[in-house]
Amino acid sequence: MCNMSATKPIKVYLQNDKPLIWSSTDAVKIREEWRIVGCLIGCLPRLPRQNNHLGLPLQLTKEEVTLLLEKGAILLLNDATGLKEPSEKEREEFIEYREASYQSQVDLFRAERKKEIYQNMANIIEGKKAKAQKEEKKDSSEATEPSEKEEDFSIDVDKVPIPPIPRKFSLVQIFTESPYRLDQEIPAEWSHPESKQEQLRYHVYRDLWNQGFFLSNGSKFGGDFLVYPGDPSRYHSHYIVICIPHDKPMSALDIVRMGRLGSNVRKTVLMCSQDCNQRISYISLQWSGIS
Amino acid sequence: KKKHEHILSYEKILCEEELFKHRKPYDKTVPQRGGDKDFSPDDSWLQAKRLEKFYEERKTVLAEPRVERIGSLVTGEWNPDIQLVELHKEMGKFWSTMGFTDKSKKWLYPEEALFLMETNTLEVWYKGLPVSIQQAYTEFLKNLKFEEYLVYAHLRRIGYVVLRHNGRLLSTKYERMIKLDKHINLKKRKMKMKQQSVFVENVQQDSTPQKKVRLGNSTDSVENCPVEMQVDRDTVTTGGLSRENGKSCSQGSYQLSQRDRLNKDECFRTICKESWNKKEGKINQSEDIHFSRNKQTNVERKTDSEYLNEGENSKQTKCSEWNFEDIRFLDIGVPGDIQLKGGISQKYLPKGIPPLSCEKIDKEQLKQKQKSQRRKETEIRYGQDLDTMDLNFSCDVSQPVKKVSASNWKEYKERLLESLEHNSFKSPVKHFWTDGVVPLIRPEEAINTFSVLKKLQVIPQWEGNSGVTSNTDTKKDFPKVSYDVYKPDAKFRKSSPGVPDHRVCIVRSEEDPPSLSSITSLYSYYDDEVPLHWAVVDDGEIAFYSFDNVSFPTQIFKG
Repeated sequence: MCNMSATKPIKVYLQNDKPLIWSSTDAVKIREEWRIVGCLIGCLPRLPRQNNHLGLPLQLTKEEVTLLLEKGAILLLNDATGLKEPSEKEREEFIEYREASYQSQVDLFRAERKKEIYQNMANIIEGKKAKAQKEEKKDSSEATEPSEKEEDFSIDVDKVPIPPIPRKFSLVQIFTESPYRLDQEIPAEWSHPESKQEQLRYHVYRDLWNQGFFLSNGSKFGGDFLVYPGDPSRYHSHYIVICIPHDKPMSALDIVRMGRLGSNVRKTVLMCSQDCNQRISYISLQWSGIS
Repeated sequence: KKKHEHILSYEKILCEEELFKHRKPYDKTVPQRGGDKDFSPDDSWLQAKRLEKFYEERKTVLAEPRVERIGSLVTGEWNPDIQLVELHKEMGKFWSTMGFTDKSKKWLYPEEALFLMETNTLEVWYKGLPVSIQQAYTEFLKNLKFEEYLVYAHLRRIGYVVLRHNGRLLSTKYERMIKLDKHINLKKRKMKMKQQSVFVENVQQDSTPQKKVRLGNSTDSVENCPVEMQVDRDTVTTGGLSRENGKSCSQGSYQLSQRDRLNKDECFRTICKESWNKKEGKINQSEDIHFSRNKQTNVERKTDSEYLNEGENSKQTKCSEWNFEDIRFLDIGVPGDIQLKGGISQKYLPKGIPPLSCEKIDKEQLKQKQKSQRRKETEIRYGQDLDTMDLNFSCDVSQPVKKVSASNWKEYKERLLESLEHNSFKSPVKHFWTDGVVPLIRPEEAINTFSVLKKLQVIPQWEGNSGVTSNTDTKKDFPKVSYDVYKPDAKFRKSSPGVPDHRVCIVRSEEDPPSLSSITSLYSYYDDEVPLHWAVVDDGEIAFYSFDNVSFPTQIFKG
């Protein structure tokens, strides 16, 4: 089910108390291998001005981070170092990099232009011929047969002078993930399940994850989590998980409320709690009638 | 991998060939969200294929880099001390809705800069190296809540113009209706802006020291600022006097200086005391002061002669040209025929009326005329003539009240009380009131249908906008409005954005929803009709909620 690849741990950066993943390979891995859904929160580079599909970074929930830390899948890093003032050498290095990039781009553009000319050679030659004929007609000198003027219209692609592209057409990359090397990676402190409610939520999350489900945020449906039998993109969720302390008294109204909630969206409400033996107990709620 | 001295980790950066490859975005399609889903996994090949396709697409889309030509990128420099980005030059369409100018430099707020970076428009540099978006997420959002940026970006992406909240509107509803708010001398108002209300301070406290750079517009928060308005001198604003008095002045938009306000009160009082000197039959001129707001701040009570001579008030003093001693009015009370001495002089009659020649007025005829008119009116009103209606009470009401006499005041009071008890109206339904359960309405309360129906409303309806202004005790409770949102409009001007189309408060899902008192204080504070939304952010998911006032109409039957 999950390929416990221990090659390179996934780096999760704790920025402003939010765990974020910036690497696209990591974002892919965490879903495909670790069954963690998360939430994309940035603009998509391909089409930034829409809200249907967002891009990196991927924000993880607290429960997800705690679980991944337990499994040893991620490295939680602190990113609160602040922007460092670069040294003179580093600045020079960057300028060199840009310059080198520009020069190679000039060559690349040139090569592409040559390819274009080569591909359109036939059209170019035709165009030149037509132009020459027009000029002949304008001259209105002695009628010479076009066949006489057997000018060589062929173009030697390599000899065509192609000016280098101006700097403003050169391409640069806006870095999404930070390209700068960090001197040291400071692991961040993580104190997640603190309160009783947080602990309960985490234990329920872990238990369900261990059973092979995909779990995601449940606030859209009024619950704590949504439980999917497979990847959320392919399947609808089956359960709405509501975490309730084991000894909390509930009124019939609460049960009805949860029942209505589930039946309106055709999902089963799972009331989860943890008893004194640290075991998670689940009670599902389904609307039925007496018939 | 390169050696240690290098700052760039080249495995994370695109090489030139890849950059070149991405020069033209060839695929602008976005993987669709949702679509038809299967119910549950059934290990079929088709499902596995679909899943694989989804993963492939996702991988490609997320791995796409941000590549732009240098020429189409705007550059800026990050200044961490004031937490702003300084633009080197503006370009493109974003300047009409973002950023501000100060000291002949162009600045961007951090959330604006971060959004522009994410949309491949801006490249921010810091001391010689470009800032990556990852670094910007840490750096730029130091003074801003993470959720605030998420909501900002969400709204901006779909096209709204989102500006930092700028306090409540200065202009009143009426002024906006007549578009007066656009004509007010803004410069003068800006100069006088010193005081700010407690709540507004709360709102603006997270801004940088250069916030005041953001020049004021008509929506700036000014509550008690004194403004000297340049209003046309001839305008008489007596109508507004009765409203604007003391406390309520502070809520209106035209804030008068302290001296002005005192004079207004004074003048209002004198107009009330306007006495018609019966003996002389003419208006006491000294008290006929029509208040006009003019540049002179000390409009004190002036003497008669001053008013007569005063040029600007000459319009008003014209009415005292009438000499009421000469004008005679008919005395209809006198028995017999009325005779008019000398007739009414032509100069007192309005134009177009022929000169009255009759000297005898038939009183009887007049009386008859008035009577028949009255009769007609009552018929229209009540359906029948008052004289023929049975207006008698169904029981005997004409009980003589015994006169009370006493030797001293105390005794008189006692005896009066007694007599009231004895002489109380003997109602035929008196037994209703003796029991434990009494009728809901007393006869004296039955004024009209509405008051009767109001009695039926056991739970009084809460008036949301009842003008309950919060005091400093509830300062903590007052939710912070983060953004003013405007619909995208070509006519939008940063310098005077006008009335926002929406306002947004931002909360996390773990926080409690706003209490009723905070909602009421918010709604009464922002007394314009701009909808207020709460954006609830839950680990990246945003949902918008709003509270609306719903009132049920009371049905009143005509009766």
